[in-house]
Amino acid sequence: MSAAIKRKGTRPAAVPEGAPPFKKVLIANRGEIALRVILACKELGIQTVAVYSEADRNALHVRFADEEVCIGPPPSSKSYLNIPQVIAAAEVTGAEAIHPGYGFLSENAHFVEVCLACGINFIGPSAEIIRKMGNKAQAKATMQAAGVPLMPGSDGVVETVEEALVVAEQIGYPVIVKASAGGGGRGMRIVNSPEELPDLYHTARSEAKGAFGDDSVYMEKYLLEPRHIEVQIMGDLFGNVVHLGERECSIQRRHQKLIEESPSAALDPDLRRRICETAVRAAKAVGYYNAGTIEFLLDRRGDFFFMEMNTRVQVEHPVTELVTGIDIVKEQLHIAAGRKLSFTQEQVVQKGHAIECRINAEDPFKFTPCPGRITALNFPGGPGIRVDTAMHQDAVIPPHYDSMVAKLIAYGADRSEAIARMRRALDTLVIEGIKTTAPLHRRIMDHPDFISGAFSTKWMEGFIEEMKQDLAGNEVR
Amino acid sequence: MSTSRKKPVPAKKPATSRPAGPQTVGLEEIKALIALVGREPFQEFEFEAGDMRFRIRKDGPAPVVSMQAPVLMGTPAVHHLPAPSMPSMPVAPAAPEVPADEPGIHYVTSPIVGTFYRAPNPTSAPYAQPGDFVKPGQTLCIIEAMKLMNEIESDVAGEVVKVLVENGQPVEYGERLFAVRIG
Repeated sequence: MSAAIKRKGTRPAAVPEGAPPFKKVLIANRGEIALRVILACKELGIQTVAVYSEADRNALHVRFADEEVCIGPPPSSKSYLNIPQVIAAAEVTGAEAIHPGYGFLSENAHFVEVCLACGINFIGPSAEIIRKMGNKAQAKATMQAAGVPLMPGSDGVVETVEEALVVAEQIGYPVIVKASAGGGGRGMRIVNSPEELPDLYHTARSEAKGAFGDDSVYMEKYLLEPRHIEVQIMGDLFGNVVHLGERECSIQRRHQKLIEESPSAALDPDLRRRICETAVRAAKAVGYYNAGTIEFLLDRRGDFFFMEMNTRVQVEHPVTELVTGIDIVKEQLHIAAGRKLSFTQEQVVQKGHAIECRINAEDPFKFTPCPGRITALNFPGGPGIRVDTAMHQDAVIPPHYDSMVAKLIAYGADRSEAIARMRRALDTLVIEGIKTTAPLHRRIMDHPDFISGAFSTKWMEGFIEEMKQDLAGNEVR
Repeated sequence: MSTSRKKPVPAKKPATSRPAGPQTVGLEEIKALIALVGREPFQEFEFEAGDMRFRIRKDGPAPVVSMQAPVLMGTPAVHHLPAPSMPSMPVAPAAPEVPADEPGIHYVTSPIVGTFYRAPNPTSAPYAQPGDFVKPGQTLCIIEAMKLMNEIESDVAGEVVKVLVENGQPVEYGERLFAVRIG
């Protein structure tokens, strides 16, 4: 028989107070998040089952799980996204619940339904909630009904200048006129006042016609230096919903977050309270339970607008864990087992400051992926440093999956201590054999804008330009 | 196939292949390789390129060539990895924990995760017994996954020499189920 599916090691001792939420949990994921869930299960005395593709035979999540099942060849579509294989693995190992991590099947409502039909507990919200929040139009309608501010804009195509003037008056200047078929900045005009609207409206349309062969345009409020602020939510099956404070995720490139922190330097106590309470209201409006995140765009004047809800654990959850002292993954397991939230809103206190840098296997200046073998590895330690990773010496980063190799998280009594710790952590991080984005993060940690906290989602564009010129200058010398 | 928790399995080596990409090896090249292996002092030769993989061994009375579809599917991206420079070097078998193959033996592997059954129901005779001769397409066993019974067929003609999994036991993707002597 397959020794590979046999339980290895000794069964952990029974937890004295209160039984573990589950006896056995299957983790339908790979990499650092699979390992993160395994660690939480170990602490709770839960047996773990890893599933893996042939490319991950030597991965740490496979090594540290109590049992493991190979579910297919390397492409995700044939392994980590293959619902029948994942369910069969849970059935043959007798796992009661499946933790989906993030990505892969984590926001797949159909998968949640299959789990339910097979009598397996899905660690996350219901299929209905996932569907409701996954459909943009439906999510916006639900949020509007709950009184959550949405990005103001025209209801579809704006046909005439007269209509444009009316819409702009309703949503307030500045506004942006955008090509319906658009992208890449073409067919886009920012309008600051009614006087300049007619001309800019027409140029946007003719530019759209030239670029996309379609001159239809729509209008939205234009945000000045928007910041990406998201709120961590947790809810149980008894209707309790609490927030765990916000995360600042404005340092991003092409909508890929690079650095996250909590708390955000942009919020004062009053704004923090308003944005977090709005997030709780949004979650309650859909009857949300388990861990979730509500993402907002915040403009310079302190107005914030709903973007979307993520119905799963986030990559950047550790920053919230460090400032609140709450283990989000363990709480997810308890909630899925039908237990009440182990804390109240009053017991959630943000203390200190945490910053996370996502270290990707990419060229730090060109951002091209760099799969390969890690030949030398040293992870930083010392006070206030947490590293979430599944890398090890001689690990091969397969080209089939995403490029994140580690999350470096620094905690300090305040933001400047967290930055200082992140700097020395990056200085003592060694990853050889592949290129990583660590040098990029090191530069950001020294940048005056980052240090002062004055940045928006557009900041990285300028930073990359600055860096390119800098590097070109160095070459000349 | 046992993977020990205590002893980490050595990391898989990237497939030895020319960086040029998938390519085909013709009959002439294979003949030349057999002749080469016959002359050289090494006992075994394994080669992998694109979606082709074969192995030549010298320990039988005559050199035997066993060719098989690659175990590792969908590996075009392997070519992005730094490929070792010498294409004719013997490489470690792709799956290190699998014991060395006997010459002429083909292994029927499980295409899915599930529970292995040798017979259509508990009172019936097994589909295949050691000593039986099987044809390609002949049902060898059933694997139950998600309440569905999936018939697993032989992909070669030959004699069943061993059933490698006990009736009613779980199997994983790619696990060996039957050893069949080709012929």
